[in-house]
Amino acid sequence: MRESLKRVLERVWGILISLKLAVLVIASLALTLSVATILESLHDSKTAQYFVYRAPWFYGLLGLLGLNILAVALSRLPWKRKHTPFLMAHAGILMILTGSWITYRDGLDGSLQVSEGEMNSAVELDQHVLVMKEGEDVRTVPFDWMPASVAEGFKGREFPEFGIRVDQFIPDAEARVHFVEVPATAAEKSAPAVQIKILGAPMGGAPEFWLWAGDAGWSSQKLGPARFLIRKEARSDLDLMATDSGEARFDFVATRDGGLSFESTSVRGEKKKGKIDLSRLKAGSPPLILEPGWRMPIRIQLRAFLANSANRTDYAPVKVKPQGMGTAIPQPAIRISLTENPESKLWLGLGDRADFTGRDGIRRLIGYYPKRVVLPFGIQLDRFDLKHNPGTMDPASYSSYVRVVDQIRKPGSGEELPVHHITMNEPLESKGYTFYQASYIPDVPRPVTTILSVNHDPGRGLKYWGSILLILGSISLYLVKVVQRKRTVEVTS
Amino acid sequence: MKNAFIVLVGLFGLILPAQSAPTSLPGIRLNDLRLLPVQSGGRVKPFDEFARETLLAMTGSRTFGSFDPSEMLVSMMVDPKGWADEKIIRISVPEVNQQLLLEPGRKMFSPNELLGSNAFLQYAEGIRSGGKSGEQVTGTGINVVSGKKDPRGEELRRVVDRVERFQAIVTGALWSLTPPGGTDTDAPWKTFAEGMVTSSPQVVAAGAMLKCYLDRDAECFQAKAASLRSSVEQAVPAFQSFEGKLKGEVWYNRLRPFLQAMILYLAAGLFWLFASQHAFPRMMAKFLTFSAVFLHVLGFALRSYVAERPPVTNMYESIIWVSLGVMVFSFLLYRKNRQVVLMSTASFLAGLALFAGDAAPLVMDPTIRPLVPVLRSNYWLTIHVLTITLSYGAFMLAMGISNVSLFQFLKISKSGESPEISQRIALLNQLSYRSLMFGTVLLAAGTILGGVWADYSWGRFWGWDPKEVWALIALLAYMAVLHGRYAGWVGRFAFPLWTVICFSTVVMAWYGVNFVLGAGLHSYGFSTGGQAFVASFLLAQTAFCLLVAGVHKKGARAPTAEA
Repeated sequence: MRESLKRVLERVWGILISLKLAVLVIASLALTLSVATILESLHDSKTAQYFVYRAPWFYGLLGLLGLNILAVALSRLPWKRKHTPFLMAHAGILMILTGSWITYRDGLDGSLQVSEGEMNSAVELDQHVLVMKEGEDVRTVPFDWMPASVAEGFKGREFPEFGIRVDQFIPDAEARVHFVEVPATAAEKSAPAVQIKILGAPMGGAPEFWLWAGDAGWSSQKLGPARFLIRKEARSDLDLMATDSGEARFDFVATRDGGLSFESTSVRGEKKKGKIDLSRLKAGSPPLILEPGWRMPIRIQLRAFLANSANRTDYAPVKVKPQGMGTAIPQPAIRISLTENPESKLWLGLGDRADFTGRDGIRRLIGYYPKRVVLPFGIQLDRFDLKHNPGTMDPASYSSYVRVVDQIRKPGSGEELPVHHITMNEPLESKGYTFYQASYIPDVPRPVTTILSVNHDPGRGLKYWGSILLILGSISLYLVKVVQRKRTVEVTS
Repeated sequence: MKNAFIVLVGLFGLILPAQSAPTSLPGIRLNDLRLLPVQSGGRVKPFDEFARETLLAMTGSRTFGSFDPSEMLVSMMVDPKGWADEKIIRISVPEVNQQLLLEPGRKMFSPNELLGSNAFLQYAEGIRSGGKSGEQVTGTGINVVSGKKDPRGEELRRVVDRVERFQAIVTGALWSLTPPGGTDTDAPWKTFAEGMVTSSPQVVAAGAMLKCYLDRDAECFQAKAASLRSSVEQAVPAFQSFEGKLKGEVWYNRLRPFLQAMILYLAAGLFWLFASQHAFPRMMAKFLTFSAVFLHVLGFALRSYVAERPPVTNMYESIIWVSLGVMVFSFLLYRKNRQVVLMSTASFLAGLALFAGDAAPLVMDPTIRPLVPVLRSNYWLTIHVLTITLSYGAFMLAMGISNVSLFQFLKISKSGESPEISQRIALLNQLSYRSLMFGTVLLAAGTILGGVWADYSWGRFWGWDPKEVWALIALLAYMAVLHGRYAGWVGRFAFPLWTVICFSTVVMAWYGVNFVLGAGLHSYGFSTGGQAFVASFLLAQTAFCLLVAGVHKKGARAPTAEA
């Protein structure tokens, strides 16, 4: 038994120190990485990170490389002088790998946003969390990003400690407003709403939108030469509202008895009125098409009418990803429901929060935020500076003048503290953290909010020393070979 | 009165009916005009460069007829109607012809043809209102944007830009010639069009110069150009700091050192082919190679001086540096081995690389541009980029030598193996191995230096950015080959074969990430075009590898069959 175990161990050791394994691991790393870059090109960097760079098996592959190198180095024991270059190069790689592992485990890499005259010490990380607040009690649970292909098969996740469940996840979401029927007695603001689709619109396509008689009891939307309007019957004064010359107008009037009628005015002032038969909106009935009686071949399809409705925000995957620098990057969104009431559905975009009262009568706050780390000190921005290339609007350089404020104090109270100038290639190092000029928020007439990236890297030293060893080691590896060749040449001749 | 006169001169061409195609003014001397300082593209440059860039941007080629670029611009301002009928606007993507309902297959169109097309006007309006809002707002590249390539849309945008450029030239809106005064070297200059309103002395002088050109008076033109030049020079703040650079740039433009070096390299490569047998070709080859390298280095130095940075920030510049690297490594190896095949390979490679860099100025922009903010650190830029691209040079040389080595195997299959050929193969493989040594050390060092720079300016050593990753893939690929060679699995045939195959990872790291993948933080280098060229290189290389491998396998099997 012990013999066979020994034999297995010897076998494993034999594989670990083999060059074959080394070449295999190196080649598979190269192959994997090329696939990852193609993945990134087709989707985005987050997807590549999810499937490759941050996947456990990839760490396993890197670990195997490290193990292989370590075993090979140990197999040369006892080390002799001639082994030095080989050991240097391979120890260098091991140190770089270890350093990267330490960075991954204990490092901090986030961004800090601060406006002129203000102070901030909360660093936002590239990870997301669910936050639950109940009275003074705040709890946080990580909820990680996943790519769309994974999110499609997402079965939902329970958070029993919060009493909620995440049903759905959208990695790149855009907000959409829609309307739902609410009881007239509800606390929230409610008003009549119609959802209409314009058929035969001159610009092609069939625009579809909601009209909601919100605050003012009416609202309107202009589309080319036509204006569409919803109003409560009480706002009959709107009849007198002059239309622009050359503008046709179509009014939906929500009557006091909960019904709906329409009034249409053509460009020349010809009027048409009628009551709408709401029973024709029932599911299964043919589309309810209204003829405004205008010269232009426009017809209106009434898709829905809600006599008492409130607006809701939900999220849908963005159809076209915005391109180019400086455009807003789509954010993820989740849909949650209460465990005690699975019918309650609510969308939260990243950065949103909502409050609800459970059956136990306790009011809770739930939020979906980027993970934050609060630094033991604050960064106060005195001034943000942006320079352009002469005669153009292309930024040539941007930089921030900041002060490091020890405790949380009122902004502007740190006059006596030294001012540090952070530029693109000159970061600020303070108390183990490094602050880099990363970006800014564009604003008119000039940007006043800077985005610094904040970094704390305990693996840095190891990585640097490893790099030096690796380079020196490989140079001497080759030098030794050249010298050896010379010697053999001398000996043979 | 003065104002009216200038406006009249500026708009003369618009009033005059077009008579005939614009012709060059005989006896014109352009020296003063070429050296005239102009603010354009974020820096002060000589009029010569401004004209060349404008010409290149519009026509897609470096020359148009017999016109000097500077004279062509002057002629455009004087005779816009005549030029509006000249075919000076290039459309290089055939789908754009289709989209704009233009004659298919044609590449050059006149501004009037385009401006007369409703489809073009509609797209131009759409592009203008769509804008390119905040394209460079975060030049750090920190925010991650994955942009998909759309060659047709991009070309459409360029075509609109070409036409707008023409309009801006004839209306004087593109020519910034009046410094604002004061000491601020970054303040925008007033354009010719703006200056007409205030009748700035520079615009008056320029108007006088244009009037001479309109009168076809070469002597008058020269005198007025000289006074215009001195008028602008006096108004430029801290002109002394520009003077040498302006002259240097005009000289650089007129000398075209890389074009000349390319021709010399190719000639040298031919002579090197015969250098082993005869003394004369050897002498010629040496002379030509040294002249080529001299011009190459001179051009590099001149460009560095003008741009105030090492010229390695785009594809065009990196090709110049990589081909210089090929020569440097070939010298290092030649010193030891005295192998003429090495020199002919290196000279051909350098010549062909420079040719590729020069052949497509629209794909590989040869103009000197200001850097995006993140690259503005000469120290790091120099050591990181120079090191990493130098390694490409070593790999390119290894690829060239390995191809020659593979070619020997083709010879073997034809006429059998002789001890001479075996020795030659061993030697070539040795040279290629040496080249790989240089390459791997430099690539490892360059990649790590990139990490150090990224750590220093972005705050992370390694972020799995595609450009970083492909540099690592190339390194891993060569490492696999070197370890395989060490273990004895990669023999005298497999070694050159794999060296050649691995070069495709360098092509990917160098070209592919920027032109094909188009993802990641090195976005300031992204561009389009050249896919067909690179793909055909890779295809030819693959075909050659397959051919040699097939022949070699057959040859290896044949003797055993006989036995």
